[in-house]
Amino acid sequence: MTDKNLRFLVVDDFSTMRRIIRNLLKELGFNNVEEAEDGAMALKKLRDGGFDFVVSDWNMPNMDGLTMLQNVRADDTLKDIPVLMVTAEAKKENIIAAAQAGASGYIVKPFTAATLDEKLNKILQNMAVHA
Amino acid sequence: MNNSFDTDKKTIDHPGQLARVLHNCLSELGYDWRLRQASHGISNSKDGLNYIASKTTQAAECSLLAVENARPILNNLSADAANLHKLWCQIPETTAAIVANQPILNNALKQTLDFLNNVSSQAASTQACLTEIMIAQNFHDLTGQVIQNISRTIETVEQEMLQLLANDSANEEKEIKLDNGLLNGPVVNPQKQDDVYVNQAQADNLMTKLGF
Repeated sequence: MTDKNLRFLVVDDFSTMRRIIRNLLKELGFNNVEEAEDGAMALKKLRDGGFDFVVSDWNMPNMDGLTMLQNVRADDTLKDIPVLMVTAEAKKENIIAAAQAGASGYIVKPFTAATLDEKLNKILQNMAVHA
Repeated sequence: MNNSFDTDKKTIDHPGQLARVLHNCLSELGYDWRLRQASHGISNSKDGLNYIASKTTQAAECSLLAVENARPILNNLSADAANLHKLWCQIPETTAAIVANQPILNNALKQTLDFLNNVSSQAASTQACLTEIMIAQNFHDLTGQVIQNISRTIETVEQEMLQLLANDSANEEKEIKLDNGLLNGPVVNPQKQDDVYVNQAQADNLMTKLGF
């Protein structure tokens, strides 16, 4: 059984998308959700501690999602946090770059509630196995 | 032939000079005026795009707010109905027997219980519809990104045109970026690109190949 108290950070420069993901997470039973509007703010929040899961966009001002992911993976205290990329960037190179940088999953926008549910659960199951 | 090639090469090395020559040619041909008109058109297009961006933002936010407000109402409706159903089921057997002997009252009670019983499944179906409405608002993110990209392009074109018109562009060359590498935004025309993965199944396949 998944821990519904997991603390999520939703990173996207569009407030609409942050709100949609936050609401979807709520429907899935996750109420502990915070938001950041770019990679730089996300990293700052992550470094303040307490987050269990990151759902991030790619194309954002200040710091994009890939750079944020690379920073997370390079940081000893953050490197094990799952990062699910949810992005409209849909080139083959994008998916390869995200995978190489250590993304935990990749969702192409526009997505469905079922897709988010499925990818999230897959990552959470992997977390449980490796815990 | 060679001489002309060398001259051309030198000219390309000096964009300011080229711009001046072009400007003069355009003026002579009457394109100067047309460029000014086009520049005006570009300015209007920018306003149009801003209008689309602001209206779609309003529409998406309005829809999300309505969905967020409707959810707790449905949840309350569902919980209240379940509670009422429970209360009716708790009436003493003697009372139930009396009701059973009153056809009109009995029928009303039966239909009321059926209704109360159905409220939660109907509320759940409505919640699913609300989720659809909510998810549909992700158009705002996608179209917003495309609008941002187009606005940037228009901005560049406008500056280039203004420089051409002003004929003082020698030191203010703007570089036009054709390829953004990994930051391209939503794929607007998948048929034109063969290296894009616009549906989740394609993305999943690639991720699987990469060991996920």
